[in-house]
Amino acid sequence: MNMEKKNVQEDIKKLAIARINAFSDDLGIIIGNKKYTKKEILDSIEKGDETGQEAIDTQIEYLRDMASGAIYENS
Amino acid sequence: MKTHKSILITRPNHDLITTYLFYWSQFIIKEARNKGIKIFDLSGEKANKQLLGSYISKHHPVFIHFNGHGDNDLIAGFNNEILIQAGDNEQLLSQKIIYALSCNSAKTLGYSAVKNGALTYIGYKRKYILAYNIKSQTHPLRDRLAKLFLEPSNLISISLLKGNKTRDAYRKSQEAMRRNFLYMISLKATVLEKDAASFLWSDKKNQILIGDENSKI
Repeated sequence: MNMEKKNVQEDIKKLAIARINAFSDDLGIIIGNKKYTKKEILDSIEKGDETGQEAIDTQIEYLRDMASGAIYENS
Repeated sequence: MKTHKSILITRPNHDLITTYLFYWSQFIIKEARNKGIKIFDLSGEKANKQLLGSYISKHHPVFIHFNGHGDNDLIAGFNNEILIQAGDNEQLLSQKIIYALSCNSAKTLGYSAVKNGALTYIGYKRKYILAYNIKSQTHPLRDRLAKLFLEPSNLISISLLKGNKTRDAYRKSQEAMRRNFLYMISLKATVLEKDAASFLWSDKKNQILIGDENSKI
């Protein structure tokens, strides 16, 4: 992996962490067959496991669709 | 009006998410009864492979709604027993409409099921994510956050029970998710609802329909 790509991935991870960190402590998330608190999702992201990656992908996809206006398209 | 059609639903309840789905599926059962459609309810421990095969062979339900865990090639039941797996017994779904509220199963099993005769398969190509209010987890039906996720899901089955084609049931579910999502990012939403919006958006994007869009119960 080249340095630029690695830096971008690190920035994406930081962005997802910042978003999830701001979530309410009352928010429970079930991803697949496991339930997670906010802290457990953040731990998964730090560990780099499958759930952590899923959480990052979800946040980044959402931000991309928000930025592109896709969330307002009637499809 | 009474009909001879029947449908089948699996409702395991061995962990938190299956318990949420167990309770929220009651609305589908109620709708079927209102419509005079016979419903076979494989709830709790009854959501097992042996009983599923037996009910399908004996009663030939036209529609099956699966609740439970899943993976690319499978749907599970009580205690995660594999109920249907690609390459094993997806032929059981032949000539049926399927809605699988389970992770990933549309990715491989959905296509395999349709290839092996299922009319239509609606499911999720990635992990299904349910957001809930930790303070409401002992009363799933009172969880207003989970409602924003599970009502649009129920709409697939309820629309089919009302006589809609699969494409319309799918469209109504997609529209309901979009409507809830737009509410969740609006000023009217609570902080908790705003926080959960990205997860509903993910579910909307990952819900797909495979096969015949014109099939109906």
